[in-house]
Amino acid sequence: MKTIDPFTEQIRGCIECIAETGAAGLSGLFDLTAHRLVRFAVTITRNQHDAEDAVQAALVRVVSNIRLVRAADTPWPYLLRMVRNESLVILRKKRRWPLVSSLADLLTRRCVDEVEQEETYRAVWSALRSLPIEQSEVVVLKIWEDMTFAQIAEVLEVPQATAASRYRYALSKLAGHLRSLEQEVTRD
Amino acid sequence: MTKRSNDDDSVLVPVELLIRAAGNYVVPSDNLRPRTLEAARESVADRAGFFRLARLFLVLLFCSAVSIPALDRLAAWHDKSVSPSGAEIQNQANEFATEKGVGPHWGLYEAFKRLRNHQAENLSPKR
Repeated sequence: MKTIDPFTEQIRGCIECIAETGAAGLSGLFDLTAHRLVRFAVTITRNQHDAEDAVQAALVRVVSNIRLVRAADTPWPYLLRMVRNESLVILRKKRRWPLVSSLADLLTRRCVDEVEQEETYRAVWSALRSLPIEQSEVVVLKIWEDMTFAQIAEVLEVPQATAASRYRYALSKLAGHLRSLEQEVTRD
Repeated sequence: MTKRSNDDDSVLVPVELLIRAAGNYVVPSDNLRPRTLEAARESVADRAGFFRLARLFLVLLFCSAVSIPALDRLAAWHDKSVSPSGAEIQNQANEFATEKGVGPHWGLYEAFKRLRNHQAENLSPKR
């Protein structure tokens, strides 16, 4: 029997709300997904402002094409794909600009009990930015979105084996990158 | 999407755990929400305006498609139904009186009779 997880159910509820009330119903979907969509878009655009523009454009498109979104079998991967497409459009427009490797553009949350972890988080984000986009987006979908390789393949429109191999390459690169950062910190 | 996938053949390695923990580090800016909602509202309003204009254009197109042939027919009927002026009737009466050698009253009678016949011919349904 096919099981539907609560998150997908919530998204479906929000989409129904948009279909009934129009733009006024978008706030529910925004609150539910914005954080996850932005962090996914940031890994593609490598810039938070551009990522937010991509998320905004995708969500506006959701409202104007609500029938298409409503008809999607899997709304969350569909939404991720929309954000990915918008991010790639923005990235294509800005190709001539060098990609910034610093994390200065990121808007971060600092919880009091996580101050010690901040360096690690920054190291992770920095390491993610050092990866090619094709690999970093697989990592984000696999680890942060808990997707299977089949679902990742659907979002990225690549074969499942490609998604899996990109993930393995990315993880080994990240491990190396994070290990070297850890050694630097220990030396300091 | 909340369940961990089965196709990963190992448990979370430390790197994965590190990455997972950093997932909530980046947050959307405060103005993204109002900005997005406003953009969506504007987009809906623009689309509604566009559809209103398109509907208006279609209605105008329909009206002109219907009214132009109707106006043409009306104009043709109007040309046929226009009556001659008093001076023209008088001229016709004089011409008839001179031609037939009858009095002006009889000429006027004949001119009106011809006019009535002509109008009846125009207004009668065509077979």
